[in-house]
Amino acid sequence: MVFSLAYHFLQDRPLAEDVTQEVFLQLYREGSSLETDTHVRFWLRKVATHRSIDAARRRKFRPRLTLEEIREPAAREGFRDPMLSETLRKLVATLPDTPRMVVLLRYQEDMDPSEIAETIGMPVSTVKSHLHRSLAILREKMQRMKKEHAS
Amino acid sequence: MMPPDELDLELELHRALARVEPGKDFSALRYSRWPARNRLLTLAAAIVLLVLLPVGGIEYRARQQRREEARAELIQALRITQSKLQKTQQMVIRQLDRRNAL
Repeated sequence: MVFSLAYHFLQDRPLAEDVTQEVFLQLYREGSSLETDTHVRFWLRKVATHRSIDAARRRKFRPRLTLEEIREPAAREGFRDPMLSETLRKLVATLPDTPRMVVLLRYQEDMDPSEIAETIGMPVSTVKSHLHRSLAILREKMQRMKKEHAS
Repeated sequence: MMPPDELDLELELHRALARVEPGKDFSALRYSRWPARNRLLTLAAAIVLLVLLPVGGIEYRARQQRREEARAELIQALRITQSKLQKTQQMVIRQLDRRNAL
C-alpha cells in the first residue's frame, strides 16, 4: 500500500522506496500511539500521501509527457489490456500533485471521497471536484490520442 | 481502443493503478543501506573527532603555557618590586638614623 502509493505517485522506484522507508521509520517512532489496525492503515495512508507529495515537491518533478510520447493502446482484447493500463498510468502521472494523489487514493486504495478528504485534509467537495476534473482530463486526453492516431 | 466513457475509464483506472509491491530485494537493500549510512556517519564523526581533539589539545596546551609564562612574569615583577621597596626602605631608615645621629 505505502510503496504502491508512492510509486504510482512519483513514478520513481528508488524515491518510492525512500518514501516507504521514511513512512515505516516514522511508524516505528510514533506507532505506540496507534491502537487499532484501522487506525494504523489510516495513519499509513495519510503519512504516505503527505510524504509522497513532499518528495515530489522536493524533486520539483512532475512527469510532463506529451501525447506523442505515449503509445496508443491496442484495441481492447479480452479481459485486460496491459498497454491501456500503461497509457493510463502515464496520463495519470501528468496530473498535478493533489489531483494525482486523489485519483490514486480513489482507484488504487478504493477509498471514497470522504475518506480521501480525511486523509489529505481537504473538504469532500474539493475531492469530488478533483476527481471529476481529473476524469474529464483523462477522458479528453484519451480521446485526443485516439483522434491523433486515427488521423 | 475502447471509447473512453466514464464507466470504462474508472474500471481501467482501477486496473491500471492496482497495487505494486516493492522488489524482493527491497528489505535486504534497506537493511544493507542503513548500516552503510550509519558506518559513514560514524566514520565522519570519528574523523571530525580525530581532527578536533589534537587541535583542541594543542590549543589547550598553548594557552596553558602562555598562562604559566604570564604568571612567572608577574611573580618576577613582584619580586623586583619587593626588592626595590626593601632598598628604598633601607635608604629611608639609614637617612633617619643619620639625622638622629646629628
